[in-house]
Amino acid sequence: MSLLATLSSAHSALRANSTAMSVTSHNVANSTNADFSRRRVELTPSLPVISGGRYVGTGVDVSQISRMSDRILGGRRVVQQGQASKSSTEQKSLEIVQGLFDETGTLGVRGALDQFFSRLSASTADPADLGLRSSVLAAADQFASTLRNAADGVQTQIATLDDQIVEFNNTINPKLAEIANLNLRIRGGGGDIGMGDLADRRDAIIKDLAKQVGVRVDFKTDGTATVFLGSQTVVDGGNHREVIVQISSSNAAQVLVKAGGSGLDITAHVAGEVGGYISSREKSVDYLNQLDTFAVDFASAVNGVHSTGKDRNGTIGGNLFTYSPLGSAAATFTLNSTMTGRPDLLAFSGGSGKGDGSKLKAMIALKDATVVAASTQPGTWLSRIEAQIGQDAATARDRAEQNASMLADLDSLHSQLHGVDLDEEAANLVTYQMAYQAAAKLVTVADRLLGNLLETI
Amino acid sequence: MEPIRRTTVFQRERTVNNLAAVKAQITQAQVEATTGTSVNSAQDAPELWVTVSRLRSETTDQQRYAKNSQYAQAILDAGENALSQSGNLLKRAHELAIQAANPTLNAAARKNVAAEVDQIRTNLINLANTQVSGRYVFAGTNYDQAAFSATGTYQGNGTLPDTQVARNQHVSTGYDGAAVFTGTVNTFQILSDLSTALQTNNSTAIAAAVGDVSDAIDQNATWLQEAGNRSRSVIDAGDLAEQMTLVAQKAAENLTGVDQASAFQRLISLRQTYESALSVAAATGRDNLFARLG
Repeated sequence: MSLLATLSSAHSALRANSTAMSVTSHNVANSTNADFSRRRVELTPSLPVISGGRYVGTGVDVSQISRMSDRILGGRRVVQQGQASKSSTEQKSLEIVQGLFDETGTLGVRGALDQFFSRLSASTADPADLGLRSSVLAAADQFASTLRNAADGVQTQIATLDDQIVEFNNTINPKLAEIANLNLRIRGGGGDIGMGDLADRRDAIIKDLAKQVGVRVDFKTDGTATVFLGSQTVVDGGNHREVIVQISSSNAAQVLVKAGGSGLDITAHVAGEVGGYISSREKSVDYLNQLDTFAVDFASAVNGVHSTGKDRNGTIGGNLFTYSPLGSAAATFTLNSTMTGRPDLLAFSGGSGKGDGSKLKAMIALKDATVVAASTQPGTWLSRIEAQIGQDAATARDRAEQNASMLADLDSLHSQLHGVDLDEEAANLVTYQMAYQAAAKLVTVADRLLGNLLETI
Repeated sequence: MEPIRRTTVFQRERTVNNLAAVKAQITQAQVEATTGTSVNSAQDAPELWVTVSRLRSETTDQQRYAKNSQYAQAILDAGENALSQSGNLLKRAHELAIQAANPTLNAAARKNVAAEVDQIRTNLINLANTQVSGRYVFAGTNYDQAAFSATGTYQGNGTLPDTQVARNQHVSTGYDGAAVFTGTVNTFQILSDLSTALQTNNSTAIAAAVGDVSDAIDQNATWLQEAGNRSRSVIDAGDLAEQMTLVAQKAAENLTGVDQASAFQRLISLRQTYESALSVAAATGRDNLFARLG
C-alpha cells in the first residue's frame, strides 16, 4: 500500500467522522424536539483496491444517514393523538357548560328553584304580607334569571362551538396540501439527512392535523404518507382532497370530504378537536332542549294556577312567568314584567280574603307534581340535567385521562426508541472525535514519511 | 439486551407528567380539606347527583318548615293567650252574675255590677281583636281588618289561614272569630243581656244569664283546648322539621363528606412528595455526559 493510499484513507476517515459529528450536532440541537427522530450515521468500508496482488482497504464511506422511525408506531401515535385531542376538547367544553349551572351553590338553577318554593312556603305564614310576597317575587326573579343565564350560557357555548368548528376549514385544507407537497419532495429526494428533516416536518403537520380532526396514516416504503379521514383518503402521494366543515341547514355540525361535485359525510368518524367540539355541541343542544322543555312546562303549570287566583287587590292574576315563543324558551324565561315591584299582584288567594292562600298552596304543590314532560317533578328534572352534564363531563374526563395516558405511553416509546439520548450522543461525539484525531495523526505521519522519502531522493 | 435509552424528551415529559399528577392530587386534597366534601360538582359523582340534590332540597324545605312553625307558633300563642284571658273574664262575669242573682242585692248594687260586666264585654271584644304584627288572629282570612266592631259585630270570614309546617301538613294559624265568640253561644250578646238585666234589676233574667255565661265559659274552654292542640301540633312539626333537617344533612354528608383531618394530612404528605419530585427533577436534568466532558 502506498503512502498516497494511506493519505487518501486517512482523508476519508476525516470526512466520515466530520459528517458523523455533524449528525451528532444535529441530534443534540433537536434533543428537546418531541417530533424529531434521531439520525444515525452508517459507515461502511470503502471498496478495496488490488495492490501487490492483495486486496487493500481504501478507507471509510458514509453509506447512509438514516432517520430512526417506526411506521407502525408512527401510525398508532397519529390515531391516538386524534382520540386524545377529541376527548380532552370535549372535556374542556363540557366543563364550561357544567360551570354554568353552579350546582353546589344556592345560586344554581336547582338551588334557585328550591329557594322559590321555600319562599312560597314562607308566605303561607301570612299570604297577605307584602314583605313575604316581595321575597317570593325576588326568588321568582332570581330563579328565572338563573335559569335564563344557564340556558343563555349553553346557547352561547353552542354558537361559539359553531364558530370554532367552521374555522377549521381554514386550517385543515392547507395542511392537507402541505402534506401532499412534502410527500412529493420526499419521494423525489432520496434518503439523505435533508429528506429526514422533510419527513419530520411532514409528520409534525400530520400530528397537528390529527390533533385538529383525527386522521389515520399509512407510511409507505417510498417515504410518502397516505392520510385517511374516516374511511376516505384525503392525501395520497402528491394528491389531496378538500374537506368541508359546516353547520347544516338542519342545525347539525358536519364534516364532508369532497368527492366530485358532492361531499361524503364522515362526521361520525371524526376525532380530534373537531370531533370533540361536534360531540360536545350535540350534547349541549340536547341540554338546551331539556331546559326548554322545563321552561315551557314549568311556566305552564305555575301560570295555570296563578292566573286562576286572585291578587291582594281581589283581581284575577295573570302569568307569573313568560318566555319568547321564538327560539329558546329557557334562554328567554323571565318574571312577567308587570309583576316587577308589585308583590300585591301575586295571586295567592282563591277569593276568600287577603289571607286566603289556597292558590299559594296549589303552587307549592307543584314542587312535587309531575308537571315536566308530564312525567317528572321540576326539581328532579333539573337535577337530572345537571347529573347528565356531570356524567358526560366525567366520562369525557375519564376518557381524556385514558387517551392521554395511552398517548403518553406511545410518545414515551417513540421517545425511547427514536428520541435523542444526550449520553449516547456525547459518547458518539467522543468516539468520532477520537477517530477524527487519529485520522489527522495518520495524515501527519504519512506526510512526514513522504517528506523523508522526498529528501532521500 | 437493548440498552436503556434516556432521552431528553422522555425525561422532560416524565418529569412534567409526574409533577402534574402530584399537583392534581394536591388540588383535590385542598378542596376536600377546605370544603369537607368530595362532591363539589355533578362531575365528581354524577351517579349520586340526583340523590344529593334531593337531599339538599329536602334540607332547604325542612329548614323552611322549621321557620314556618316558629312563625305559626307566635300567632297560635297569641290566640291561646287571648282565649285564656277571655276564659278568666268570663269566669269573673259568671261570679258577678251569681252574686247579682242573690235576691238581697238591691238595684243600685246591681247597676254597679252591670258597669263591671260592660267593662268585661269591652275587654272581651278587645281580646277578640288580638293582633300579631297587624294581623287579626280571630278574623279568619280577612285578618287585615279588625275581627269585631266596637259593638261586637263580626267583620272577618269563616275561612281559616293556614301555614305549611311539613310537606303535606298545613296548620290553621287563625280562627273564625264568629265561631269562637259569637257562634253557637254569642258571648257578647250574653254579656249584653246580663248587663241589661242588672240595670233593669230583672232577677229572672239575671238568673237565666248565669246559665248562659256558663255556656260561654264552656265554649271558650272548647276553643282553648283546640288552641292547645294546634300549638302542640306546630311544636311537634317544628321539632320534626329540625330533626329532618339534621337527617337530610347527615345523609348528604354520608354520601359526599370526607374526613377533613385526613384530607389535611394527605395534603401535607403530598406537598412533601411534590418537594421531593422537584428536587429529583432538578438533579436529573443536570446529570449527563456532556456536563462531564472537558
